[in-house]
Amino acid sequence: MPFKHVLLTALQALESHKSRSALTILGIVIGVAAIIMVMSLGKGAEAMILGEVSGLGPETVILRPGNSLTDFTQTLYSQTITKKDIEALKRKQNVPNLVEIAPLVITYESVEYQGDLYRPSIMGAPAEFIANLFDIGLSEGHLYTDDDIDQEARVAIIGSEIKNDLFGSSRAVGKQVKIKDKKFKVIGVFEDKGNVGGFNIDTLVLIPQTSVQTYITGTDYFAEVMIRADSPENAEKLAYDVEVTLRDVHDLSFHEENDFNITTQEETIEMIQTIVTIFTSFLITVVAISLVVGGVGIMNIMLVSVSERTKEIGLRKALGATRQDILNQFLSEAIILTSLGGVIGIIIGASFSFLAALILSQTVAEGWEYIFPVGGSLLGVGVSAGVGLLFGIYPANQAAKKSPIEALRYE
Amino acid sequence: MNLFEVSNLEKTFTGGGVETKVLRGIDFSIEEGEFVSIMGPSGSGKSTLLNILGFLLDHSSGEYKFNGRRYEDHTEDEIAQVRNREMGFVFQTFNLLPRLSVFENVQLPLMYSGRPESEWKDRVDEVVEMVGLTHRSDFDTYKLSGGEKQRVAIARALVNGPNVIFADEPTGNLDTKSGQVVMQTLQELHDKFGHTILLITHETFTAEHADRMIYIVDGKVESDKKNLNRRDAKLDFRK
Repeated sequence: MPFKHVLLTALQALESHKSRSALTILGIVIGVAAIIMVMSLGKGAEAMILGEVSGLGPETVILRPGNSLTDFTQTLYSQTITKKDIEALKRKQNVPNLVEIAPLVITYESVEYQGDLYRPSIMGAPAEFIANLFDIGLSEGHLYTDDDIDQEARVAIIGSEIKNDLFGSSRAVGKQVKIKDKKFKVIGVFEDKGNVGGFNIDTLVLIPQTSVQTYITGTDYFAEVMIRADSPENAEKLAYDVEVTLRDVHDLSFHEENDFNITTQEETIEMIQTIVTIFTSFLITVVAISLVVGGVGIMNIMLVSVSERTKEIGLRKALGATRQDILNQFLSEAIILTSLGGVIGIIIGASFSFLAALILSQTVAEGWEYIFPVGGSLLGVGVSAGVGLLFGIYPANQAAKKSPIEALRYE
Repeated sequence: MNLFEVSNLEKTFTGGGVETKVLRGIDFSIEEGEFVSIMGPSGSGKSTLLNILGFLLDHSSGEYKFNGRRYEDHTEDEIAQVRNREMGFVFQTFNLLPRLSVFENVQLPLMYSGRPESEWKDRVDEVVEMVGLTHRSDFDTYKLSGGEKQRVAIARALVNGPNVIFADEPTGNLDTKSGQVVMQTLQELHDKFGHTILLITHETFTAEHADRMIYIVDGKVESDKKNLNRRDAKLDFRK
């Protein structure tokens, strides 16, 4: 039987049982819709996280103490990157592509103002670099300068939440706060910004790194060094130069491991993508189970349909249909059903995830973008057609096996 | 040449541990172009015989040759092909697909024939005209009268230009008039177009429209004779 007529015949049969066909594919519709939603939201989340991370810019390389990229305690407590390293890295002959270097100190200490306490994260870093990096402005005051850093000035820029907590509606700039019993002068307040690149700007105190080392931590170690290359293409080369320089400064012999680690944004992006992929794959696996359930539903209804249409099958065989003809007819019914379910599922899934993206972007996750998973949709249609094929084979085979005369006599 | 050759044909049905011998050694042969009625009371095995002859059922023992070739020498696909190209079936209960139009019902055997699709329409139109239903071609078949349905079934049986038409109690579900129209159509197919026709019936009146009458009782041929006083369906009509 020509393929066109196999399809037409299948469509006619499905059309004559519209509401049953619709209910049958519901399981597939829901399964595929869920897959599309998981994929779309997963991609959206990935895009958003990457957007925040690459806020650092692809030309930025991060240097941290400790040789493990993932063991954060090691990073916090390793004390392998010092002022000496920074000076070596600043030398042009060591790292020619370096245009900017920002060593960071991070610590936690109470900030006191007239007896009120606040426990913020304290970051010691060049103010201009941080402001550019996180793209934050000040709601009042000004940034400190490189001179302030050289002179270990006791100045601080505070986050908006700290300002509100300690100063209420009155002006903060010009006031003195106490950190570890040392007086620091507030010279600026950050505008509301929330989380950027893993830091909550609103609860951050920014102080020259030299001042943090001298007056607060009492050490000359850095928790993190951000280094900017002259172009994104040179980030990898810069990372290599940094590694060579530090190994030399640290006097590491060739069999010793690095006592620091270097992350390019590319690596971070890859890591995040891996995490998101693992997470969405897990969810998709869970959701895929519903497709199997849907497939069983299809099989069930197909079996009912085969037994209802025993007479029709007998007649078709008596008129010359081969086993293959009957098999094809019922298989195409199953595949058409499930593919249709897949397409409807994609439409519903895409609409719901669009809605979810809209709500997310208006509420908790500003900048969340809707992403239509093209690959996921193709996969969805493919998988649902596959489900039809898989779960249609048994009923179709039952139909094809029927002996024509017994089928004709069937009442 | 003999189209059908049956010798010592037996058929036993087994069901629920009970063996029922339905055919107990049938012998006959039928030539191409004959119009034969197979008669017998219900339970005589005549329908079983027709189903075996029509490749719808296999026999238990004995030999059945169609067109000189033994039934069991055909593969399953060849059996389907013989049913499709060389045999046409007309059933007592019409067996039309109710949601399809007259045209689509008649077209069914062509879809399984392997003939090019471009020939289908002309062929369907031709046979629908032969049974006088051109004006009903686009009707869904459930809207037709019993007589019309049976004529659609005849058109469907004819559409692939088969050698032989099997008619199993074709008038059984029809009123007298419609039955006569159907019988007239069958006679015309035989007389004008030379089709071989095998008619199964339990009514002597209907059987007498054929040229040869085989009478079956208890799974055996009781008599097999020429019908010298063939009824003419056209004349029946006038009465």
